[in-house]
Amino acid sequence: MHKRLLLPVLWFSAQLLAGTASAGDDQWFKTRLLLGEIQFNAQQGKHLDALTRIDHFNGASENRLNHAIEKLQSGSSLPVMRVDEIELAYRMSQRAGNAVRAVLGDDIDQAGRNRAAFDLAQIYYDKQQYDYAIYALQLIRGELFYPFKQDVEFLQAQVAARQGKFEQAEKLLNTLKSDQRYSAYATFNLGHILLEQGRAEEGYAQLAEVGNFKTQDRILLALKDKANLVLGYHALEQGDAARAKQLLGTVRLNGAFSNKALLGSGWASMTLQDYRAALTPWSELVTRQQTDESVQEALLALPYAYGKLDLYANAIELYQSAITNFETSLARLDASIDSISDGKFLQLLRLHNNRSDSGWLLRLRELPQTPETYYLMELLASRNFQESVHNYIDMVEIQNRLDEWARTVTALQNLVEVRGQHYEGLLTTLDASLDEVDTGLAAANQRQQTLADTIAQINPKNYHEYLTSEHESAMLASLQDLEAASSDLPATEAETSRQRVKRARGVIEWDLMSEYPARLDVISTEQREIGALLQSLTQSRDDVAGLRSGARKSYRGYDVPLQTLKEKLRSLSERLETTLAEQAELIESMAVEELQLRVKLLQNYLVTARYELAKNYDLTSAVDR
Amino acid sequence: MSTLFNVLVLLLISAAAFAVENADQQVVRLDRDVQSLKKDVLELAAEITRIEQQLLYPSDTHINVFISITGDDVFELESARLELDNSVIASHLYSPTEIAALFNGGVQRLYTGNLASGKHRLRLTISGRNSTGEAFKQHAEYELDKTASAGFIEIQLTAPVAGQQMMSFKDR
Repeated sequence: MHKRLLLPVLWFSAQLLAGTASAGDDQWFKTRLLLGEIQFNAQQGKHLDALTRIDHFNGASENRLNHAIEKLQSGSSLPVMRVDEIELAYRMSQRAGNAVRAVLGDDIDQAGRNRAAFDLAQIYYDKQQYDYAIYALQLIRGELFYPFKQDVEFLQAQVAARQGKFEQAEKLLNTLKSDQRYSAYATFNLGHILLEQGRAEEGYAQLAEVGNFKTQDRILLALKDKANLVLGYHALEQGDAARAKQLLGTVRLNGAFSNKALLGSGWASMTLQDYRAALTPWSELVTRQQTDESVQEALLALPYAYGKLDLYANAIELYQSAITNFETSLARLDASIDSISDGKFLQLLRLHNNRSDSGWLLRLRELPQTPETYYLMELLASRNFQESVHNYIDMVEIQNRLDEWARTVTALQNLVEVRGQHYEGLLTTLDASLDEVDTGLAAANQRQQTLADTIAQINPKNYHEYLTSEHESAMLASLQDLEAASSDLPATEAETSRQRVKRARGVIEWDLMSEYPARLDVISTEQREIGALLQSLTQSRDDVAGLRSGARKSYRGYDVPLQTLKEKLRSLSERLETTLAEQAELIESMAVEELQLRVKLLQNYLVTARYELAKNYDLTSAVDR
Repeated sequence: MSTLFNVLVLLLISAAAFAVENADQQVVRLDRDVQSLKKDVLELAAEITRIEQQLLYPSDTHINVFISITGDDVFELESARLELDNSVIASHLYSPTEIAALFNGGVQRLYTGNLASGKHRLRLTISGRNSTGEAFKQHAEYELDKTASAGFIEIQLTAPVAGQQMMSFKDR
C-alpha cells in the first residue's frame, strides 16, 4: 500500500477509537455505527464482510476493538460478538489465537487475563494442539471461582486425557462429578478414560452411573443413551446377553442411538436363543431408514432369526427382499459414487449452503433427488468433514469475492485513466494561467510592499518629496522657470515677478503643509486597501491551486497501488484455485471412501444373503421331503 | 454372539481406521492453508476498500446513512426507502436474519455516497408489521447540513406506536 494512501486511514482509525474515551462524542458516534455494522454482518453469518470491516480499523489492536465492542453491549443483553469470536466463527483459529494472545500482553486485570488464557486454551484444544493448550492453561493464575473454576478444570481434564495423562484427568473428573453442570459429562469422560486404560470394571461402573441419570435435558438424555448402548454391547461381548438386553432396552426408541440399540437387542435375544424375541426389535428396525447401517444389518439378521425358528418360508421371503434391497442399494451407491465423481456433490454443497442455519449440512439429506447424501449421514456429521466443507464453501465465497474485486480494481483503473484524460488538458492550461497569476501577484505584492515602505518613511521633514501632487510639482517647476526667467527682466519687473512667484510657491507650500496629515491618511488607506485586495486575490489563487491539487490527487499516484492490487489478486486467485481444488478433491475422496466402505459391506451382505437363501431353500426342501 | 455379527464388524475396522487417519492429516494441512489464505484475503480486502473509498468517496463529500433499532418492543420491518432531495437513493427489503441482526444491536449501512456541502433533505419511508401483525407505513424527513467532513447519519427506529414518530435522525 502506498504510504500516502495509508496514512489518512490510519489516522481516521486511531481517531475513531480514541473517541471511545468519552462517551457521546462525535468519534464514539461514528465508531458505534461502524462497530454496529460489523455486528450486523457477523450475526448474519457474513463473517468475511464483518472481518473486512474490522480490518478498516487497522490502526488499532484487536483488544482495543474488543473493548469498544464490549462498550456497545454495556447495560444491555445484546449478543455482540468479539473480534476473536468472529474470527473463530470464520474458522480462523490462528488469527483468533493471536488476538487472544495479544490480550494476555495487555494491561488488564488477572480475571480478564485468565479468561483470555482459557479462550486460547480452548482454541488450541479444538485444533488438537494439546501442548499449546497446556501452555495456555498454565497462564491461568490466582484463586478461581465458580463457574469459571469448573470450566477450567474440565478443559484441563480433557487436555490431560488427550495427552494420555490419565491419572491427572481422573483426579479432575472425579472432582467435577460433584458439580451439577459437569456431573454427567465428567462421569461419562471418566468412564471413557478408565476403559481406555483397560480398567473395564471401573469404566463401565462410571458409564452405568451415567446410564442411571435422571434428567429431561435433551443432550444429557443422548449421553445417557450412549452410555447404555456402550454398556449393552459390552455385556453382549462378555456373554451376558440378558444384561445386554436390559441395558439396550433403556435406550430411547426415537434417539440417535436407537437403531444400534434395536440391533444389539436382537443379537442379545439370539444369544439367549430366544429367536422369537429377536424378531420384535429387528422387525421394527427394517422399517426404518433403509440406508442406515444397522437397518441394513437387520435386513440380513431378521431372516436369520426366522431360519432359526425353522420358519424357512418367511426366511426365504425376507432374504429375497434383502437381496433386492442390497442390489438396489449397491446400484444407488454406484450412482452416488459416479455423481460425486462428476462434481454433483460439490455442486449441491455450493447450492444449498446457508450461513444462517448451522445445521444446513445435515439437512441435505432431506432434499429429494440427492443420491450423494444417502449414505453420508455419519460423514456429514463428522467434525473433519464439516470443517472441510465449511472451508470449501468459504473458499468458493472468496473466489467470487476475488472475481468481484478484480472487476472493481479494473473499474478503478479505468476511472483513474478517464479522470487523467479529462483533467490533464484542463490542468495544464490552468497551470499556465496560475503561473501568470503568480507572476502578476508577485509584482503587485512587490509594488505594494514598496509603497508601504515608502509611507513608513514619510515624516514632517520630507513629506514634500512624497506628498506633492503632479499638478503641484508641475506648478513648482513652472514657478522655478519663471523665477529663472525673471533675471532677464528689468529690475523693477524682476522684483515684482519674484514676489509673485514667492507668493504662489507659498500658497502651494501652505496647501502641502496644511493637507499633509490628510494626504498621508488617504495614501495609507489606499495602501491598506491594495494590501487587502492582494490578500483576497492570493486566497482565490490558493483555492484554485487547492482544487487543482485535489483534481490531480484524484487520478495521480494510483497507478502503482492499483497495479499492485491487481497482481496480489491474481496471485491470491492462483493460490485459491490450488487449495480449492485440493479441498474439493479431499471432500469428494472422503465421500467416495465412505461410500466404498458401504459398498464392501453390502457386497458381503449380498453374498451372505444369497448363501443363506440357498441354504434355506435346501432346508425347506429337506423338510418337504 | 453370532459369528455373522463378528465377521461383519471385523471386516470394516481396519480399512476404516486407515482411511480416517489419512484424511485427518489432509484436513489439518488444508485447514492451515485456508486460514493463511483468509488472512491474506482480508488484508487485501482492506487495501481495496481503502483505495476505493479514496477514489470514489472523498471525505469532504462522503456521506453514510445507517439504520438501527432501539428499544425492546418487537416489530417486523419489511422495507425501507431513502430519498435525498426528492430522489430515491436506496431501497431495501429485509430478510428475517437482517431483522434479527438489527434487533441484536447490528447497524445496517443503507447508503454510502457523495453529497455536495450545504443543506439537503433526507426522507425515509419504512413499512412493516407491528407486534399484533398490523401493517404500518411511516415516513420522516430530516434537513441535513453537509459540511466538509465525512457525514454519518443514523436513523434509529423504535416499535410503531399510534400517533408517534418511530424514526429519529442523528448526524455528525
